[in-house]
Amino acid sequence: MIVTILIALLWVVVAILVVYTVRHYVFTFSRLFGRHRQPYVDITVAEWPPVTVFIPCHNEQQVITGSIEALLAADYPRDRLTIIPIDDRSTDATGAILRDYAARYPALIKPVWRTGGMPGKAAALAEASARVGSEVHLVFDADYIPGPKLLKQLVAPFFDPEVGAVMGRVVPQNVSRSLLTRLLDLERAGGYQVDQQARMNMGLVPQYGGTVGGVRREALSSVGGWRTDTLAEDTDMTFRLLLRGWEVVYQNRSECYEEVPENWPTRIRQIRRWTHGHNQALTRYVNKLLAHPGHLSWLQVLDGTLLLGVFAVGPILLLGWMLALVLYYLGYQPSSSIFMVLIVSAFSTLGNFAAFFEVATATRLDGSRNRVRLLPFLFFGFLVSLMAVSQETIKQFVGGGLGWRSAKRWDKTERYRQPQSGGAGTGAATHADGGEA
Amino acid sequence: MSVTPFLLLLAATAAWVLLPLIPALRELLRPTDAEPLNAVGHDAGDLTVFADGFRDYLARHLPADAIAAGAATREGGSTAVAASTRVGTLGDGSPYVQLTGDGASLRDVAHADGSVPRIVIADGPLTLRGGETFLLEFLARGPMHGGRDAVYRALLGEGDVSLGEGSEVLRWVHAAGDLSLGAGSIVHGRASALGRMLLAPNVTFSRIRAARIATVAPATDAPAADGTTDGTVGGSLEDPPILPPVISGTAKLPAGATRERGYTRIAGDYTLPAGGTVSGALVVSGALVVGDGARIGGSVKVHGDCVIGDDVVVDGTVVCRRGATLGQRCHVRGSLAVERDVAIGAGSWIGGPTTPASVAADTVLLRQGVQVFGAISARHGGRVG
Repeated sequence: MIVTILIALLWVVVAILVVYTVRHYVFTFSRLFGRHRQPYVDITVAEWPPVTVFIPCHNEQQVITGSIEALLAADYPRDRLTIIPIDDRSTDATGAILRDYAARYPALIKPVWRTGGMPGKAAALAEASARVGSEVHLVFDADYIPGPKLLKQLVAPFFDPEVGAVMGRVVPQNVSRSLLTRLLDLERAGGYQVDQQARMNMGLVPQYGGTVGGVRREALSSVGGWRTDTLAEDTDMTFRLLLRGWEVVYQNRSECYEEVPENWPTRIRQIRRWTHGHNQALTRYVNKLLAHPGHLSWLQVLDGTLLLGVFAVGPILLLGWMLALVLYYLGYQPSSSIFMVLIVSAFSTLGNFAAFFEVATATRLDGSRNRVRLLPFLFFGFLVSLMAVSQETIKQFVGGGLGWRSAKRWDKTERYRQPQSGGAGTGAATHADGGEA
Repeated sequence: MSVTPFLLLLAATAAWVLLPLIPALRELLRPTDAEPLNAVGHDAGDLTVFADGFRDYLARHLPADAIAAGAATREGGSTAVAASTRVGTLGDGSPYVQLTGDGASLRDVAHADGSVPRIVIADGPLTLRGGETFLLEFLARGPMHGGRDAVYRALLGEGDVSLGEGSEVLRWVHAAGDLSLGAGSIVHGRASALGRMLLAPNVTFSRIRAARIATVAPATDAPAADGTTDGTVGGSLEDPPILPPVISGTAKLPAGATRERGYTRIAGDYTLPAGGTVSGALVVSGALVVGDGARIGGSVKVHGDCVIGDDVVVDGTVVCRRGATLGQRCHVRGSLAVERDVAIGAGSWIGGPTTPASVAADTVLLRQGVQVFGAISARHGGRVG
């Protein structure tokens, strides 16, 4: 009886992994041979709408100058651009740097100072965006360095009245720092160049990633604004917009540099945070999605469901391995085909965001030369991610930790860039509370 | 029993396992491709990037005496300076020819087949006979009038530029004034003008940008000074009419249509009857047909094909997932983003003098009298029909 149940369970696991494997292959073939959709990137001349750029900050003295300087160099019409750094209780020199910029560009840079309320990026965005009336809200993390054309590129999709959010491509800048950064560079390439663009090509569900992108104020308002009780406000926003009838679009040509984690503990914390937030979205929206709202196609429902479950694949894969072992020692002799399927599927679903062949495809599309040679090492990176994701998922679902983390703190990735000159106040006396009314 | 065979076997197995990892280990230990992806901040959408680069290039490499000669020509005026040709090499070794008079002196440096193997710098007004092939870049500091069937690798005009019938530009052309392309001309790369861009029939293009792009009738073939004809004409161009905003819609919406916050969403196909009005933005999940004289008071998104009749006004952008056809005298006040092919009817306007706009599609067909106030990007080619 137990063996029968375990066998059935193994088949279920294999079936799920096969579905994800097929998904990865479909995306890859779409990018290699399918029609490439970038319908808005050629809107280069337009009557540009008023835009507000939000930069949530918490102890960002190392990087905030670079980000603001890059935004100041943007070719967006100055009279239609507002930059709002949101200083959320920084204890370093971030506040002093922002004050200096605000004094020098009073019409352009208008910081928001948070001294109370719930901490975190989502809460910061919720508070600041409620005060702003411009039509388009763009969001950048403090370590991001947008190119001069990026703002126009990200705003262009909003001329489509159906677009609720837009997402650009994130490109690691500190690639050469360690093996981990090089592996993350590969993983990001696969995730954006293949996964996200394939979803865009196929009219599925590109994911708004919370940075290098933006939201239409009207859409934001229609779904009730930013949720503060989630660790993945971006994924949460993606699905609320989707369910409400808004489109999320991805622009592969809208690239922006970021810093990726340079050490494994930081990486593990980052991926556990993503897992937690993503699984929150899974439990909140999977049923609503499977109810198949009339404005969504079945393919969008399927893709959205698989996207919601992407962080559950790791634990499912682990379960499959354990089941195979247990069944073997219980004397079960399965057909070789199921093990073959399990092996192939395990290989193809090991990466959370991009399988090995997707990464290879991305490097080819990017015209990269030798970085693909590091592909074998990606196996170890994926294993670490698998363990981190599984640990967090099991803790959430078994330990009942699906709600908001109780700790009142900022969850963010460590910064590595050296403080830059250019912004007066950088490296100046420590800003104690970051607070102004 | 000796352990040597076992160790040898172990070592051989380890070597065999590690063999495929050698490229990975080499790349890890001696990185050759560890720079950030060179993809951020490129010239995306900036059509004048090559023209600006050429200006910088000449500023760095043009000899001082050539600069002085050019300045003297411009200060002296075209009539005060006798025609002459000055040849030399730029700082990087590229050959150039500097013209201080008309184009006839180009014969001195042209090959027998009419090709000119030098960068050409024309310091005064210039009229060319036609039939030349300029193998390197061309700078016209004054007004330039090209002859028929000339081939340009790249052309920068600091004033007005007019290219004759059947001209071909291989890489880019930019005019600081007006740019006029004669009938049947082909622009393979980018074309841009700070002033107007006038396109005669059967001009083909891919990416063009100007304050006002207009398709115009063929020239009256009035002969130029050298007896050639330029094939283009640019008379006065009419601005689009200014209409009061749409307050409320008059068209009956189909069952199942939803209206929320100024957005009308319609599932399936929809036909907006002639003379009908829709206020706010319109999203149609199927095909859209707009009758003659109708008006949409916001942007339009169509998932299927979009057919717009004559004299239709759209007070926003038109986005279409498939193909689109616009009738005559339509006015789209925003941009036109079409994922397949678009045909714009005679006398239509895209954008306006104070509201610049873009047209983007796989292929773009412009009928006579079309005006686009901004840019056109035809991914697979555009043509004036």
